[in-house]
Amino acid sequence: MRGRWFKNLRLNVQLLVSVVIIVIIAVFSFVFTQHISTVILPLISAPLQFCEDISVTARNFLTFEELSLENKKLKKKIADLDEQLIQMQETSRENIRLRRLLFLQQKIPISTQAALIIGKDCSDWTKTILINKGASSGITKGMPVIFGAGLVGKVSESSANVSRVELIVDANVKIPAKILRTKEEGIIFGNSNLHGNICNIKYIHDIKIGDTIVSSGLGKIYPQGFLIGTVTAVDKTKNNLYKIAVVKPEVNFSALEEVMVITGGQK
Amino acid sequence: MKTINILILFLIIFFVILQCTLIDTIKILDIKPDMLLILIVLLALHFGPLRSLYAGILAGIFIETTSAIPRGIAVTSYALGGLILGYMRKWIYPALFYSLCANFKNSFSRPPLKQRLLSEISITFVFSLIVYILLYFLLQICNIRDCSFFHAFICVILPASLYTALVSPIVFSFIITVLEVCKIT
Repeated sequence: MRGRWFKNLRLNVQLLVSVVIIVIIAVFSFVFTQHISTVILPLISAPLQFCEDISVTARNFLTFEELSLENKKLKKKIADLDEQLIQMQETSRENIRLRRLLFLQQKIPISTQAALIIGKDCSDWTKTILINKGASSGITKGMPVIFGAGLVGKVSESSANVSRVELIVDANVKIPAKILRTKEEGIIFGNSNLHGNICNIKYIHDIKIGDTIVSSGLGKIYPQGFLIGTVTAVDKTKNNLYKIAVVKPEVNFSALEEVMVITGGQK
Repeated sequence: MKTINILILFLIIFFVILQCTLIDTIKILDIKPDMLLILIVLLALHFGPLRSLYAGILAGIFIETTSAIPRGIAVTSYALGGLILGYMRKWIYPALFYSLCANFKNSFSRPPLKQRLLSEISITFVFSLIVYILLYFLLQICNIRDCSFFHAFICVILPASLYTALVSPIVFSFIITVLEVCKIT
């Protein structure tokens, strides 16, 4: 009886010590895991890049027909965009000339750093990607990330040669945005349902399906004028004061292979 | 350092790299299976609470490094889950326990395939539910994710647990093969 009680006591002590170890590690992990992650990420970046290349090849092989159709659509889109580009260049030249006339300060062009995606988020609770550029390439926390004209997210952590980017569809993200049609401003929230690559825009009155949403530049975190997405559904909030809309992002995060990090210039 | 501890570290690194890259191609409705959870289940049932605690802490650190889950939350969830399962292993129905921890080379004691598959899937499913629910409440306590429990359960917890459980027999076979090759059984 006494021996059995002693045996249970030993088990209980073991359990208590284990729980205390977990609590200590959890409480202090915000101190040491940050340093550990700056060591771990560069070490696993090479195998991550290798496996991601295999993953991309497999994805391309499985979606060959879709890629072929998309290729044709994109070629047509390039031709249309080339035509628009010529008109935009003319407009830009006129803009510069008029600014000079009005003695307005010239906007500094943005500088970017291209980076390859070497990994996606390990868990289902957050939406992030890992890129193969870090502090050694001048990338720091908070820098916005784009792909073409679409907004991808911002750098949430940067080690020597790997950085983590928080996507705009992550539930924790808030982006000041505006509707291109009406210039009305709202806030983009990441997907709070944690499911699917969509986000929501809130605190707006005049919005309809098909509207284009762009970043407004408020807060100087995300640059102005980058495409966030297109409205696919509209609903009212419970108190009927504002509308809330579902926005399908411009960028296809599932097929993303490379991004551009804005390292400087106008925001 | 013991061979088993080094092997656990390598297995965790291997599964983290897989989780970030190749596993993404087999996503269904934006949900992917959690290889690290399956590893912790096997270690808890086969080696006991201390190994699963060690694996849970390492797994939590790597998950926090490669995702945006705040520091300490994944470590707590995975380590605590592994510890509880490790201590509870002898209270689990004996056939389920022995189906995973029997001498793999001894064909006389190896249970039928159907029983083994059912036990692996059911234990992994229940364990995944527990860890994910714990993870959800820790995220809510830190006010990191403003999402109702119902949405989190339907959109992430239940499908992820199910998918992880269905994939677990394949991963178990792989891990057991690795352990047998390294002569750790």
